[in-house]
Amino acid sequence: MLFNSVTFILFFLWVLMVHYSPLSWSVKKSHLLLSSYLFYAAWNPPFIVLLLLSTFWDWHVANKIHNSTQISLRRFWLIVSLTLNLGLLVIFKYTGFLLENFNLLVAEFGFQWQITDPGLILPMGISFYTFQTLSYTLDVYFKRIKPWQDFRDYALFVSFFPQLVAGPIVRARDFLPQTQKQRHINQTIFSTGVALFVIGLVQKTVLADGMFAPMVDQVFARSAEADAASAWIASLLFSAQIFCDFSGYSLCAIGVAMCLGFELPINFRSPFAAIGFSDLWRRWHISLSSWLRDYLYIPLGGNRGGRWTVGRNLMLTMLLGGLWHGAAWTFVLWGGLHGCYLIAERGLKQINWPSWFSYMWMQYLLSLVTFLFVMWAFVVFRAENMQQASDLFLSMWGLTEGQRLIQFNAWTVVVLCCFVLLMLGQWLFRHRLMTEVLNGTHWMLRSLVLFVAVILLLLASGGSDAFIYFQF
Amino acid sequence: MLSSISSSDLKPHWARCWVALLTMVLVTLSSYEWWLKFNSYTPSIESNKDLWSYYRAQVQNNPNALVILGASRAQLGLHIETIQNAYPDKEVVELTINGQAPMATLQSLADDQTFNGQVWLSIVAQSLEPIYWDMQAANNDFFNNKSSLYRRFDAYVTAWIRSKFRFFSPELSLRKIIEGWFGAGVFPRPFYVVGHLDLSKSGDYSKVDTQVLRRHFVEQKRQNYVDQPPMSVEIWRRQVNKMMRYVNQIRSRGGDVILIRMPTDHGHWALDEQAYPKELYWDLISQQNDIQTIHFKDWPALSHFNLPDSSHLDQKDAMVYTQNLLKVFNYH
Repeated sequence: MLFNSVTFILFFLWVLMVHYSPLSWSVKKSHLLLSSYLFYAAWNPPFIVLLLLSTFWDWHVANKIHNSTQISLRRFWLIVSLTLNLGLLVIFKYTGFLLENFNLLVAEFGFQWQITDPGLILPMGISFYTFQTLSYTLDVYFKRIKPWQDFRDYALFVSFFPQLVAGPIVRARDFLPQTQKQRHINQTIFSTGVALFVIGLVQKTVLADGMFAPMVDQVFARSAEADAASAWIASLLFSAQIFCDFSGYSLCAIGVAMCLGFELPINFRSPFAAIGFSDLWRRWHISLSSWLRDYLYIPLGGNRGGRWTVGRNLMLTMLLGGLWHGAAWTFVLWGGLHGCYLIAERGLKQINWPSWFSYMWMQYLLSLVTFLFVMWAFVVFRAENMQQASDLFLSMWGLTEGQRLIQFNAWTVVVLCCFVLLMLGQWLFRHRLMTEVLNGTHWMLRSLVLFVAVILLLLASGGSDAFIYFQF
Repeated sequence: MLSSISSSDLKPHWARCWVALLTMVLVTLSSYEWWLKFNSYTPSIESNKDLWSYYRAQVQNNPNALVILGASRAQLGLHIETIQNAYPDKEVVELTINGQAPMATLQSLADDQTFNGQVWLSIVAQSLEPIYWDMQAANNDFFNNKSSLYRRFDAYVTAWIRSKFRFFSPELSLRKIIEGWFGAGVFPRPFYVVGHLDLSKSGDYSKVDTQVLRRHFVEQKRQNYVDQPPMSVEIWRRQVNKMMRYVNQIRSRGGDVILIRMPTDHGHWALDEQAYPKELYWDLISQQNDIQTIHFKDWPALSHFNLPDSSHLDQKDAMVYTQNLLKVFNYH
């Protein structure tokens, strides 16, 4: 089910009605769980089986790990969990990619043997809930948490509908304690939740789908013919599109959860105002970057060891992070680029820079430079193949004869103005959360902003396209 | 870091905020809607694959389904309400798609073992061209592979809401308003074609310069016949046989198919007749096959209509045309 659909509004009103009824907390939790399964099944009912399987086996494996006293047995059950979870992910997400590359390799050696891609459908949100269940097992294995006693609470943690299909990726230690008793929700919390949902929808439907996506698609579809201006604009706008798309979803998820009395982790904190790449990853898709840090980078050795070891850990983490986003070499390259950025940044931080580097104007400049590098990496992320990415880069630097694919009319000016405002907003609120901004603004200004948001939602939505991150 | 709300000295006054917001939204939207009504705008909806799939699903396991297939001529010229009133025991469902020959949908209905209704297939001779055959395949593939109960329900509810308010009209999107205002210096005028919830359309040609439109349509058709020269009689026969296979598949389950040739006029018909002479193409279908066909030129009651743009019926004529068509059916 999409947040930006009338059906979701009707569904959510029903969920709220039951949630605020005088029923017991236990009944309400069961209702939330069933609603979450309904939310997921709306997309493709048979895939609910995978979600249930993932829920069941991680629950049992975590209990087995906890009850095993021998280290070797604990390790065995951990390997079982990793194999089942990652195996499922590999089968559904990476089979086509692996077979395609295997076939290419075989053909390179002159063999005629080819394996046909079974063309499996990617279950929505599988990468998200797999990471979520994995984190539970890993936390139990590392003795950070004890297995939860109530299976229903655990199932709700895995399938809680606001964040089930596109995050934020929630940790068991953050979510499960919230299931113990119903939280009292006052007017401020509920209202903030609703406001976050509205703002998230505006980001998604008005900005990402209505304004940025059409221009981006127009240029990427004909990347070889784009002139420098078109290529630059499309690249800039795609960065804005993916931010608005994903941050919009996260805001909606956080808002919906807030209305139900649950707190989800912040996923974005003005990422395009980041100064440097480590700062970027503390601001962009925070729930994933912190997951990768805690369950991959640190177990690999993290910052311990020499320059080469740390570099290897960073690169490996980012490459796998890239691959998590999709089964294509473009995603691997995107991760690799960010790995290079982070390694280069670590090197640059060793230098004793002059004091004027901390001046405000220099911070602006560094933030801009960071954004440019991030944007170039997003060109690779968005490209359907390496050729398309290469065409765009060549066009950007005027190395090909191109034509103007984006017409400069009133609408283009509006779109570019929105992009500039978005960037300025990121810088202005780089140290503040959306919830703080909302509740710290005078009610009149807040109602005016929300009024503009609602009017835009009603009059300027760009259809009901799925969120980009659903495919991951 | 969790999304908790920190306590602040500043009282957020959310109740005031919501009351002000609700008042502003209601006043603005109702004023805008009233202004649009006053200026002759009508609610209009845009079809999409999900909404089309909603109607496509309605004809499954439905022996009472009367399905209209075709493109814009059927959308604008066949009056659904009139047909429904004439056949109260039938469920009239429109599966037309603007600008696309309907053969792929006929094929899809034939291949669908659950379909056993009646089909009114609005085509011209050119619709059977091999390159036009799959024009509606994208919608049918979408229905077969991507559509779901949720998506169809959502598409219908969304379209239903949009069909109630003028400000939701696709011609009044923010982009069109800005481009109209800053580009041409005017607010977008009411569009002469209105899309309805049942996928039919109506055209009010009093809102446009019909001379310009007619020139455009005739020239477009002339160019189309240059780009896509008429198929040979041999290919035509092969294509008719292909169509008949699907027609017979539907019949074998108790359904039926009737072919309808909607009217063209003002030079458009002359081009059609030049490319695909009626007696060499259309007339051969019924002569050589067991199928009911209705060609507007065979019936004075269907051929006397003025087609403002040379290709489509005006909304004021659609009902009368449909009534006459029903009389022709009864005569058969």
